[in-house]
Amino acid sequence: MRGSFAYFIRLFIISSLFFSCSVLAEELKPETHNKALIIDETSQFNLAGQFFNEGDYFRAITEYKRFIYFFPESSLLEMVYFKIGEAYFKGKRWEDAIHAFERLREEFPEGKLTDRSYYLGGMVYFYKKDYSSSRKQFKKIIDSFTASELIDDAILQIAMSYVEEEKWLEALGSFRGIGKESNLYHFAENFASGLGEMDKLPLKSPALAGTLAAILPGSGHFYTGREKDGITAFSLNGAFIWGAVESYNNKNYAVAGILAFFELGWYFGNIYSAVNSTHKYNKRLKDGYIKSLKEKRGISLGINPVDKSYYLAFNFYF
Amino acid sequence: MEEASRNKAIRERVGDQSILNMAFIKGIKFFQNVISPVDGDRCPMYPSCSEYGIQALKKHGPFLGFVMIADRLIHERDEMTYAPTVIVNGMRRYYDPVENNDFWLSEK
Repeated sequence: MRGSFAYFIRLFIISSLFFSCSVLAEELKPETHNKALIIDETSQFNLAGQFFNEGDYFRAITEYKRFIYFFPESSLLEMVYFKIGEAYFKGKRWEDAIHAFERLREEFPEGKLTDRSYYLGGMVYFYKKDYSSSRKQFKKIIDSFTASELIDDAILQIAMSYVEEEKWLEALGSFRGIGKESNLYHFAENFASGLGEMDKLPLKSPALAGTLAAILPGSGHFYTGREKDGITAFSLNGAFIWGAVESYNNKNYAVAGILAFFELGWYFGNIYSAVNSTHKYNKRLKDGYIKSLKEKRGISLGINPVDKSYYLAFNFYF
Repeated sequence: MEEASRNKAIRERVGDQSILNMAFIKGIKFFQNVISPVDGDRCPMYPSCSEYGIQALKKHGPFLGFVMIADRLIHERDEMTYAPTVIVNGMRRYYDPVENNDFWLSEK
C-alpha cells in the first residue's frame, strides 16, 4: 500500500515537471518571442519623439542614436540627425548642438533641413552671445536658401544680434530688410522706428560725472542720482584728507602717509565710481528701452501662401 | 592671434602675479581669515567685498584693482536699489560681480 502511494507521488511530481517544461518551451518558441520584440523604424522614431516631447532631451538623443544604429538606411535619417541637434539645443548643450548640426550637413549636404540647421545653429551662437558667428549662420540661410521660409526670421535674428551689441545703425538696416508681406514686418518696423528714437534717451555723460567727482568727491554720484553713494564718497574723502592733514600738522608723518595712501584710493575710487555709475545708469536706461520694444506686440493681417486664406497675426519677440 | 587669446585666457585664470598684487591679495586673505571671523559678516553684497577685491586685483592688477575695491565700498548703498538679489547660505545678498562694474572698460 505504502509502495503504491510513493509510486503515485513520484508519478505526480514527474508529470508536473514535464508539464511545466512543455509550457515554458512553448513560451520560448522563437516565433512567439520575436513577435513580441519587433520594433520598426516608425515605433523607434516615435519613442524618441515621445521623450523629446516630454522634455527628456538626453534620453531622446539616446533613442535617436539607437535609430541611426538599427536603421541606417531609413528615409527618416535626416530628420533623426536634425532632432539630435535640436535636442542638444533644447537641452542647452550648445557645443554638442553645433557638432550635431555640422554632422547633419555632412551626412546630407543637399538635405531639406539644412536651412533649419543653420537657423538653430545661429540661435546657439546667439544664446552664447557670440553674435558674429550667429550672424554667419543666419547669412548662410539668406545667401544659399532663397526659397526658405526662414529668411525673414534669419534677418530678424541678425537685427536682434546687432541690437544686443548696441550697433543701432546695422540693426536698423537689418530690420528694414524684412519685406512688407512678412508676418514679422510690423514688429520689425516698430522696432526700427523705436531704435530711431534711441538718441532721445536722456543718457548721462561719464566724462562729466568723472570731472565732477574729481573737483568735488561725491558730486559725480549726485549727478547720476546716487545720493547715498555721493554722501559716502564725500565723507570718506573728507575724513581721510582731514586726518592726513591733521597728522602731518602734528608731525605724525607715518600716520599721515598711511592715511594719504588710502585717501588716494578713495579719491580715484570716487572718480571711477562716478564714471561706473553713469555707465550703469545709461545701460539700465537702454536695456529698459530695448526691453519695452521687444515686448511691443504687433497685430497684422496676412495671407497664407499655401491656401490663400487670410489670417490675423499677433507678433512679439521672446 | 590664437596664441594671444590663449595667453589672455591663462592670464585671466591665473591673474596678475606681480609682487604688489600678491601683497594686496595676501592682505585681503589675512582680513578674511583673521579679522572677518571676529568682526562678523557685514557685507550685504555677493561676492563679498573682500572676495570681490581679490577678483578685481586678479583681473585688473594692483592699480585698477585697488581703485575698483574703493568703488565697491563707495557704491554699496545705492547698488542695493538696483542689484538683483541672490540667496547665499540662506542669506539674501545683492548680486554685484566684477563684470557688472568693468563691462564698459572693454567697450568701444
